[in-house]
Amino acid sequence: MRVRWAVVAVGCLAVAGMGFVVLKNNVVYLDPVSEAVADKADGRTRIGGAVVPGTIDGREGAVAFEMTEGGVVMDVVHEGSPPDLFEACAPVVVEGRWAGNTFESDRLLIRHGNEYEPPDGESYDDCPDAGDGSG
Amino acid sequence: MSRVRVVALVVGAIVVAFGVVLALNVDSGSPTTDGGFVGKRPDYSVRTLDGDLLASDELVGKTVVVNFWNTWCIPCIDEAPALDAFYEEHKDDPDLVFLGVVRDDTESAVTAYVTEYDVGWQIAMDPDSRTALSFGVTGQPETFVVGPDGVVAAEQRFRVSVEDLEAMVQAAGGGTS
Amino acid sequence: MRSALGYLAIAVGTAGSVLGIATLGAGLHLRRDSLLRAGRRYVGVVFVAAICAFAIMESALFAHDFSIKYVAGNVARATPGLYTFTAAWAALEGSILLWVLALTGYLAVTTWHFRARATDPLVAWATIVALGVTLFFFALMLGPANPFEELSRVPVDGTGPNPLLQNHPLVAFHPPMLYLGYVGFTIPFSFAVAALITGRFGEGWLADVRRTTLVAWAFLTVGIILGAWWSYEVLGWGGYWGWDPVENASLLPWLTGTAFIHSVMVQERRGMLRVWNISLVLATFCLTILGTFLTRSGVVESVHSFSESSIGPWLLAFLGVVALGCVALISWRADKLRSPGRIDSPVSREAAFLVNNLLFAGFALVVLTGTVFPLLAEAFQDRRLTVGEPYFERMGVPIGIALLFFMAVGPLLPWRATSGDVLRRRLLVPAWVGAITLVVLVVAGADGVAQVVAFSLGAFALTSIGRTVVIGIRARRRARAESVPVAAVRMVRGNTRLYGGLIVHVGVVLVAVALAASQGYVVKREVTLTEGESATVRGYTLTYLGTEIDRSPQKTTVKALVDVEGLGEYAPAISTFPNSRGGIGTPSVHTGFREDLYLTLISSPNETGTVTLGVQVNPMIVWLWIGGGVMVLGTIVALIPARRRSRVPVTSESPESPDSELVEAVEVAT
Repeated sequence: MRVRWAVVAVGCLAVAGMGFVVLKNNVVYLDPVSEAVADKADGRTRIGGAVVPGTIDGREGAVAFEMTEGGVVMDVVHEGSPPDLFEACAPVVVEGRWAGNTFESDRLLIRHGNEYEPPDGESYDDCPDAGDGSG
Repeated sequence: MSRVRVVALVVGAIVVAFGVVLALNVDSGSPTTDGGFVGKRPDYSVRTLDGDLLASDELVGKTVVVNFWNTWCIPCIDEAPALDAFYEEHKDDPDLVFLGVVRDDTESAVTAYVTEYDVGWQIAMDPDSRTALSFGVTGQPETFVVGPDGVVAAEQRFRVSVEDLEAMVQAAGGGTS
Repeated sequence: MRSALGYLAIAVGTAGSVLGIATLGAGLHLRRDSLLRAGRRYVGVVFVAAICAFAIMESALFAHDFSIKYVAGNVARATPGLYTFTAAWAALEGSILLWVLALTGYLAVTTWHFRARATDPLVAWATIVALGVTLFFFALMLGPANPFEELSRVPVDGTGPNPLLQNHPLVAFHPPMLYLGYVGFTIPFSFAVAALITGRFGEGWLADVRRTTLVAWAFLTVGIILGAWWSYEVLGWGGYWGWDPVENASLLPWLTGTAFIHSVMVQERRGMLRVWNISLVLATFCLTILGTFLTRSGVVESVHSFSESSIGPWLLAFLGVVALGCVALISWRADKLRSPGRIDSPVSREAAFLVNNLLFAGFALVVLTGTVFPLLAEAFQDRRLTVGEPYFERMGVPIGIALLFFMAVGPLLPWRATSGDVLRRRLLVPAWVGAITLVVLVVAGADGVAQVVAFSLGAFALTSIGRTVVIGIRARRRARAESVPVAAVRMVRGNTRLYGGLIVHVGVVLVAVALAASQGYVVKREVTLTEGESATVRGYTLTYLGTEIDRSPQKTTVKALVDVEGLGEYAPAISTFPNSRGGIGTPSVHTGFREDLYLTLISSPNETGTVTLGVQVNPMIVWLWIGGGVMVLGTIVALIPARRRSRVPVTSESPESPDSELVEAVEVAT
């Protein structure tokens, strides 16, 4: 009886341990551009920032652009067509991996967040009109 | 002790620990002095409806309350009495500047609103979202208090109450009473 | 005026709950039956209060009473009638109102059902607990989540519902079904707590709550399936489940709830697994509250964006009190709680149910850990993180396969213990069918271990269910001359629980097969076409015909007209709403039994007139919805009261006996 419970307990701990390993391996961090560039981590990660106007370059099945936050700018190549909301100054989160100094993403989300700040000294005349909200 | 009791107590301990972690994370809807855009230095320059120019570098030394809003967002309408009350209380304070920045709205609607509700503080339009971007704003209402050093001291991404505003201004170290 | 009336209704509901609890409490303490009877009337009071509050809210919505903040924030003058109605649960305060309506409704039905046992302390305590939960939610609406809060400045027009909530009629079904599921579990929870308090944790409380538990479970199942359907057909990202925290919040109570409805059979039959049953139902309720907390407090990152609210701390406090209360109660009764009796053999139905409980509880633990891990991590380090889907899939698929196996084998295992011969006879044919399916799939080159195993186990399960049905019909026809259909119907009516359950299991097999196929074999492409240009994906030839724009006061919709050869015209679209940035995509789907062709409009036609379409081929998705429907059908059958004839005594279990089939049929049927 004792032995059987000990076996069960060890079994549970083993499964739990395995579970934590799988969990750890699948954690995806979300960093703002300034921190992500400082520490280009291996593995899958998410980066949040805003699209720098005038840098969007669409190609067949992919789009390249620059993303900025906290005064730092980085290059992104996104596989696939971006959603309709994707435009200059849009706050985005890209998910993928670093390939040298370019970030290769396969997932692009437009998000609402406060982690964006333009590089000092830049002006954004290319940002789209806020538009008439009173529809 | 029976095995059931042992398991129950272990579960209880885990529940308590878990609850503590959740409690630390939960947003009570109050302004924050520790997160988001706090600590950043916004750079802006706006022209108010009266024609005055307000720029961040010229406002250094004063505490600036910046409230992003528009005429059709319901929580903005909801917090308007609180903004009124706070402004009434502090309008004679020379070191406090109260600025409302309008996103996603037309000038005619705003002017009509300002006239109808007798809005006392300075209002500026932000048609190309430039000011909003310099604060990292993507929705409304959002309220920031910039300290005399030009750095954001507190922010609230939700409607504010008078108590919230007082607390935020305190955090910036500016304003009287 | 409306605001005041609505608030009054809520106040009445709150007061009614308090008075109900006080009266019943006094009745129990003073042992006064008259008080116990009187206390029950307050259930009627709170139910009427909830109905009134809800009706007043709907009237305010339709009258466009923008002096009420909730109305101004959730309907606009241009909002169509259906979405004006569903705006009642479009945001937090309204959804609490819906919760309260469902809760008081369940409580009213339960109270009426137990009217003959009004003086029974078990029933009285259960009513007190349920009223306590009702009190909490009414009190929320008195304070932090007041649906009738007024605006000091009345806007000319409201903002309308969130575009995601006025894009598809499904919004009229998904939230209410989900809520009816969540809320329904409050009743078994109340009875379980009452059982612990009164010390009557035998089989009585189980029988009392069986029907409500099944009904709640059915609604929760429907709610989850509809949520997956919404994800797929309405949101248009091409999938139906993303392991998003809000989705997980609905899955967690479903997992423990499913374990519970199975595990109770063991307690009914043999009085065992009492601790498991009580714990499972208490956990299910706690998980519904945790789910609401995670969904509405904004503590976890989710693609389901709900607007900010301040009720997070209240929900957390309530959850804490409930969870610790449950732990305290179990701890107090720990000595007497353990069931008498031991499991005789590891190869028995009791043992299978125990393993079942462990698997479901384990699955729930896996999902819970993955969902709240970001919170724990963020408390210790400043970075934000999410747990990726591979974690849930890698841990979940093996558990799912194990569950499928036990679902197939469990109903065939006899109670107590069995001989190897009996087991072999019962499992032989299903096992062969499963094995043959496996071989055929492997030979045919099917991809993916999980897929192949899932299909084989599915075949195994269906065969064993079929075998049970065939044996039952044959046994009836030997006893009396009945045609097959008549025998089938009467057999089912003789034991609706069993056969209803088997039908549900058929549905589960369909769902499992759909999940396996659609996860493993999806094909995704993007095509950019000019007007008149065609492209072919997986045998489907698509031609872009042009664009159509529909304008209404509610929204503007840009549709890309696409002709699919042999199947007709499809129109994926993007809609934009006033007062809201950006567009909401609507996919256009051709549903087939073997696979779906799924079209989305990725970018609207630009100046050069080209359009980018997303094309996805999703195998066997339709079986997900069909399987869900079958599960509900099975539950309805299980709820029908069984027509029991006289029991045939079990004379022998020897495999040599020519009546072994009859014996098995009888054993299965009783």
